[in-house]
Amino acid sequence: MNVIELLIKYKYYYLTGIKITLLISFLSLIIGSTVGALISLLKLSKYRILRFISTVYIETLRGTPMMVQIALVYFGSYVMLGVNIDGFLAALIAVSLNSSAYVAEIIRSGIQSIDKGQAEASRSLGISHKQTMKHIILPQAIKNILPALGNEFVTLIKETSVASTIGVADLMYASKIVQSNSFQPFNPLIIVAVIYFIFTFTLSQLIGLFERRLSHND
Amino acid sequence: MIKIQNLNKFFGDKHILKNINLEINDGEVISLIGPSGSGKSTLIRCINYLEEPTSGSIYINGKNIATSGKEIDKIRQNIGMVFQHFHLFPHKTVLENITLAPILTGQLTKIEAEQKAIDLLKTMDLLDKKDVYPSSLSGGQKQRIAIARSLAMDPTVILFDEVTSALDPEMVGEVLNVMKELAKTGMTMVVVTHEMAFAKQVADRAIFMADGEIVEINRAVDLFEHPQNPRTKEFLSKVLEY
Repeated sequence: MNVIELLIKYKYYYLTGIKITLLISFLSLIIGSTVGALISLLKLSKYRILRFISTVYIETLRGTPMMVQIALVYFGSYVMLGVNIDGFLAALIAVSLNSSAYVAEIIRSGIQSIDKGQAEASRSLGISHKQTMKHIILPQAIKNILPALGNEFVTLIKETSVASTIGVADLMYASKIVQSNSFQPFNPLIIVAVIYFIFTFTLSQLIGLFERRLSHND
Repeated sequence: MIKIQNLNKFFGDKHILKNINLEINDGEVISLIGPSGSGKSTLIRCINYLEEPTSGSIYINGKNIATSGKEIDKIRQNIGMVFQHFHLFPHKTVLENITLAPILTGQLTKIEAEQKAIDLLKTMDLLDKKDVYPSSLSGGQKQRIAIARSLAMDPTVILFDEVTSALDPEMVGEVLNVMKELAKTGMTMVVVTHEMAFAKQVADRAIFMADGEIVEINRAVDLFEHPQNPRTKEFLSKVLEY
């Protein structure tokens, strides 16, 4: 069977896979970014203890493989907490947490890349810390943050494929099923590779468009 | 109006400011000279609390700024500061740079702030630049906008931190002229500078600092023409050589 025939015959698996992959990607992008933004605030805090906590959080999540993290959430939730969560939820939690660590670092470095003089000039005018962040620092930092964040989102989409290792029926999982049902090792993989590529390429084009819009005034 | 008592500042174990005592009167123009690393910039940065003093107190119009904690934003609204590297907001137009603080602090409405900014730009002869972004301005223009930005808050004192040091030589004059005009209006000014002619002619009093101490303080003309302390003499002989 060629690629087209495979796609038609097993379209149910692929469609389910697409749905699950997009759902995990989208939700963990939202959750990961939100949590990541909060963690970056801790990391920029003037309190040493908060900075320490956020550093431990970030380094742990960045320093261990995603595949290990997803298994830890899936099996650990039962062993440690006695709750049985399904694979989808475990994948969502693991991917979100993992992404939040990278997002936190991206936001922190974006904010810290802004010349200290900007904040000093603003504060010296009597503008409060909060308003300085909102009107002076963040609008400038966003231009540094956005490209890196785009990379992170692209990575996130691809990384969701580890969900298949705990039996979540995502795109990668679909390719495995089709491989064993059709006795074809190669073509089913080509299909998912192309689908993942379409997702990531579309996303990076969208982000590029947004970036160009933001940078019109300098 | 500004009273500094026993001010000390450490960076780590480096003693940057050593027991500074100083009173600055309303309408006075003070020039602060001395070798690099003598603590001049740190001193004026302490006045608006961009640097937190290690010990000692600073009173602005009778108010101790160290103990007023959250009121520091209010106090800073009365103390303008102009920086060596301008620090204009690059994502805001010239007009927005000037109107931002009065609007955000609730001092003026948007319309009032814009009118005021336009008046300030007129006096700076930069009205034609009102809608451009800072990146298209020359150094001298940027610094004049920075002065206008601090003036928009109607400060009672303005601190100048080596404001001409980052400028190309041909642009120094335009900025000094603005400052000279400002001095004539009775604005209280504390000017850290390496422009000795300006320090001598425009300032009422001059302060010579070295190694974190006020070595000599006198009427500007006298400090330059009849320095008393040997360190002042040595410094002046070096910088006035040419």
